[in-house]
Amino acid sequence: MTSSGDSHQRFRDLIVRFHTRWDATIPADARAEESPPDAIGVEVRNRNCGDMVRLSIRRAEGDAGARPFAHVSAESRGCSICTGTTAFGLSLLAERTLPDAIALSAAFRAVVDGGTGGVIEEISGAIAAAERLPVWLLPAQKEDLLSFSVLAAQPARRQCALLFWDAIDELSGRLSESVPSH
Amino acid sequence: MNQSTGLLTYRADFPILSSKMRGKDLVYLDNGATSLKPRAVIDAISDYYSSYSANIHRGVYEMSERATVDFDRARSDILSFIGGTERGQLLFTSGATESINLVAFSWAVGQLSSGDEILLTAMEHHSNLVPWQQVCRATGAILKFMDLTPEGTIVHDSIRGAFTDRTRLVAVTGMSNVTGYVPPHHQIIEVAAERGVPVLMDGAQLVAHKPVSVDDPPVDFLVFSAHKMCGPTGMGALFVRNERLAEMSPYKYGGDMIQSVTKNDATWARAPEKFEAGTPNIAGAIGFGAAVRYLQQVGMERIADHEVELGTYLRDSLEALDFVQAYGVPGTGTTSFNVNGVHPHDVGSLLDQQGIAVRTGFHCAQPFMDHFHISGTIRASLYFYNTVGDVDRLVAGLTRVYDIFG
Repeated sequence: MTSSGDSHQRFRDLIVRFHTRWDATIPADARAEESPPDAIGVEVRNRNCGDMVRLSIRRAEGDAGARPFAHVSAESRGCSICTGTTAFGLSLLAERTLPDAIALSAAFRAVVDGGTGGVIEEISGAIAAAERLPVWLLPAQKEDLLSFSVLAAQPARRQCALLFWDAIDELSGRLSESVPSH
Repeated sequence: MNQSTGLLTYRADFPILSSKMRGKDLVYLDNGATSLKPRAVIDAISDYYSSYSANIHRGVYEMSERATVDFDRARSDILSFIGGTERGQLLFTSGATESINLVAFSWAVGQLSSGDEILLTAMEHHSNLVPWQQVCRATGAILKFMDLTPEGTIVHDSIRGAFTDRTRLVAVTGMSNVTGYVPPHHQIIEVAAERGVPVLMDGAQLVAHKPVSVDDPPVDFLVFSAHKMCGPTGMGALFVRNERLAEMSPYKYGGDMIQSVTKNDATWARAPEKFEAGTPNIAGAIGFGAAVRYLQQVGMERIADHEVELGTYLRDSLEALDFVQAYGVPGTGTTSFNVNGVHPHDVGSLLDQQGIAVRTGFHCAQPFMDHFHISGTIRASLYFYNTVGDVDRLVAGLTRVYDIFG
């Protein structure tokens, strides 16, 4: 289990690695490009700051939920935590399935929800969150994901990180409704 | 800039200025969001709760009478602070937002009809825009906006032409919370007076930072909040001219606002109680009174002069950074700006790590952001306890931010 200081540094390094530069002149309500015609897309926004994530997923033909996505892409505009988390989350979903995406979203929320209590609750919360991480994550990916626990004490920035996962949950819901029956 | 020591001595009155944030000495530059509190205000509120926390206007025992005296004294002091004289004209509310909503739904919906116009600006805080949108939905009135320059100031030559025969209310900010700009109120109100159009001034920022009189220029409604002027949160005031008071109906009913009550009917008390149903924020009012007395001791002219001088130094320092874009006009205590390629939240977060508190985002002024064709900014807003050193730390902090992200 990494120390709190290690987590902060790992989190900062991850965000710097994954984020994109921000353009002040893009209006907060600017529309993202339309998703590919055969993909299902969703766009979510943070009402407090205008950060935006657009997620597009195309499932494999005839997929009932057990096959990797045929296509998954995302576009984000906003702060480094929003864009960095989007790029990071996208990297975790390569070759993954719909159930994987749902599980990953739940695991991420457990990590950033943490607790609002003291050190003991923080540690136990971190342990509990680590136990919920999907087994298919590589060790480095797990450590990267766990580093987001630093956001448990920063509710405003946590909202920025959750935007990509809000898109995942919304899109997963729509995809689950359209799962072909056998 | 050589900062005079006169106002520096007041920093000792603010306990929080001795604290640290993220392990660094605090630099507080978010006074536009809320001001810090001097010991005099903290002690006044604490003293009420610890020594005489009785209800007001009800009991005949000493504690209640003392609470009543201090509550009424607060109203009197606040009224005097804005140049008012009649007790009934100063209503206590939970803040400027509630004050504007009170005007909107106790006065405007009963006065406006379809086709009437409410004249505003695009620089208004959402609290002085959204209620009027709802009034228009309820009455069929429409919103009109004065022209703004690219720098976000009102086009003087367009003011008179913005009024029509259907203009029924002007609602204008006293001071922009984004840029610190003060509109030409005398000119606007002169035209409004010629046409018999009532004026509401959103004084949430202005009253905290400059001397204000409700008669110079004369306004019909003035709203302001305690927490932006060294007072507690959850407390504010609404000044109402007598002619407008007569046109207002209460929207909140219950105890203390009544004259008499039978099983099926009630009559109302006179203002201000008519509009203050229920137990008020007694501690808040007492704290509010302590705040205005404290500010009078400091001197509003000195506060205004200090902010112009330090604000000019702030803006000059920011504009010397080639990676910073500042908005609005110089000479105010509030500057909104951006760092090239770095989202405001990222700037704010990294400044936070350096003990510097600024505001980031829309600033509850999305139409004003649209006017500048941007999606958000960082805002540094000063008050009389800020120093040259605060500005210098902000500049150093921004340089570090750009080194990391730029």
